[in-house]
Amino acid sequence: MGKRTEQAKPLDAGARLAPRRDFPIFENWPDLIYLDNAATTHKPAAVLSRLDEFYRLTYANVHRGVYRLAEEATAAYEEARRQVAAFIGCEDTGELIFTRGTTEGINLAAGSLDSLVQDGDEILVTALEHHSNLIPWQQLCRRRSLRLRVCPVTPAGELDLAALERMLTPRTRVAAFAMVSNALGTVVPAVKVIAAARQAGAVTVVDAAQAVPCLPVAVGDLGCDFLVFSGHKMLGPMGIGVLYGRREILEKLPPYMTGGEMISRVGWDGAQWAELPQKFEAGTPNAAGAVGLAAAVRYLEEIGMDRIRAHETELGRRARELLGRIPGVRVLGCPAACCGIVSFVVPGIHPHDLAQFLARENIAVRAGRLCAQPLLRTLGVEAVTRVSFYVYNDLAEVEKMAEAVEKGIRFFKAKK
Amino acid sequence: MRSPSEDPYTDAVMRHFRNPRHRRPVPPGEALAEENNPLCGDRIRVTLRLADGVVRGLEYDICGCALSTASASMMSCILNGKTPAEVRRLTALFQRLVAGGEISGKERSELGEVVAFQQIRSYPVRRKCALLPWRALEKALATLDRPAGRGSSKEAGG
Ligand SMILES: Cc1ncc(COP(=O)(O)O)c(C=O)c1O
Repeated sequence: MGKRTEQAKPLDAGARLAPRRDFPIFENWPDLIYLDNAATTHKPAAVLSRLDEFYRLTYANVHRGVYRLAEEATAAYEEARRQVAAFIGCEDTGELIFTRGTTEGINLAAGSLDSLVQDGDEILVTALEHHSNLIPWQQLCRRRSLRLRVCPVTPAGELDLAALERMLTPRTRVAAFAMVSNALGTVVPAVKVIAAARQAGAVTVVDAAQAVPCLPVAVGDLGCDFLVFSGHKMLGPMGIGVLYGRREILEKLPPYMTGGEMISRVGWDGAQWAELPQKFEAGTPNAAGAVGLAAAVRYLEEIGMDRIRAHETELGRRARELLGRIPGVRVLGCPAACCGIVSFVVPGIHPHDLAQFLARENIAVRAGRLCAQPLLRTLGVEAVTRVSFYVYNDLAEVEKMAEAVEKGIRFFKAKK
Repeated sequence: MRSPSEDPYTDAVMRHFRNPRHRRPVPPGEALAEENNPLCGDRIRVTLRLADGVVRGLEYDICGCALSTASASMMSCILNGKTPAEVRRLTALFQRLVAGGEISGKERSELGEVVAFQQIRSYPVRRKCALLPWRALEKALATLDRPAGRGSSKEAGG
């Protein structure tokens, strides 16, 4: 191997990691440049056909029937759990709970942690949070008279680590934070944050909705208590997500929902909870979604998460560079570590107008408040336009987007 | 895919966006109603008075997109001088227009330039932009009905 430096980039940097032909949506929308991946991602044929196959060949309710078909369905569901667990470096499948998505995962954590908090405790979140990782904690604080503290961000859009150290006290019962910001693309130094929070004695909850899709994540290396993410943002189906929880803590917590499939013994006056992970999976699970998510995980592993991270970083960097050069554009934040998510504003042009103009050019982007109203307000803006990339995007698309933004600015700023 | 004829940024819309009529800073104390769009944070404040049974001085302050701004501008142009009953009827007509409902030839001519917003029927998410000024206007009129005067605009707590 030749000598390599940190900056050395492969010759094909910015080329697509996955061919568009793998994604049937692009057969129906051949001209679409899809840059709204932080909202949701498209599905490779491998995922769609796995879903189809599950319903055609191995469909029955799981963990119930004793006939062969039901056993096969259960086996497929549990095999999906094993694969998804392995993908995030989780060795104990009892620690991997399937949910509907990130939002449900955080509500599960916040709902169950109710039993661990005491009056006067504090919950720490960061200014980068998506509403999903803010409102469940606000509600817990209201229910239990706790204090919610918010670690600020620097003008660059990075976590203020000095403030974080100060705000973590023996009263901090829970520290919940986004590992990658859905608004600024900031990659938070999760290992550091978790270590500091654990030292203060806090339970750590990682919102990895934007992290698991774009970087290698290993829960063992992170040392977190909880980590949640959504399948639909990583090529998987909608309606399936994951909550990883450390066994020790999951065993202490009461279930978040109760009902069928999560009990071991039931009488008229009470019930005993089932073993992990069933204790936290009341009712019929989204087994098809889990099987589809496992197919998505295989697809991503084939590409390689290290390559995906490099690709996202490269497209994000180029987007920041090109947008930053356009007169009148303000790119929000410039975190040292960031991935393929870039938000910007053009004073005098409304983000929805710009997004609508881009739509006319066949470029799909997000505009609005990104479920991060407090953060945007802190940055002094009401709403933004956001572009976000994934494996089927390439540099040429980033360039077309920047050209279209320039054209849009000319259109809306024209005098007559 | 959409045809260019469905483009929401028609010449009329862009003309009003670039030169909004009857727009001025309206302090909160003077506004009869304020509305906002939770999707994007856009806000409008509306003021007006009734003189001799018709709407006068319908003015507004808006922080919004091209569509909501043009909608406010056109609204002020066609409604100043109308009676509250006519305003309500035209508001209902506008709501029907953006929802993609049938509009007769006579109704079209009553709406005048405002028919440019017919294009919005293909953009359900943007309907709220076009409707924002009209919602504020309805609220403003309602405060005049109440003898106590001013209504207060309240945001969801949290
Ligand atoms: C950082 C972050 N957290 C939470 C969520 C919520 O995810 P979901 O809507 O899949 O529950 C999102 C997605 O929008 C996100 O980006």
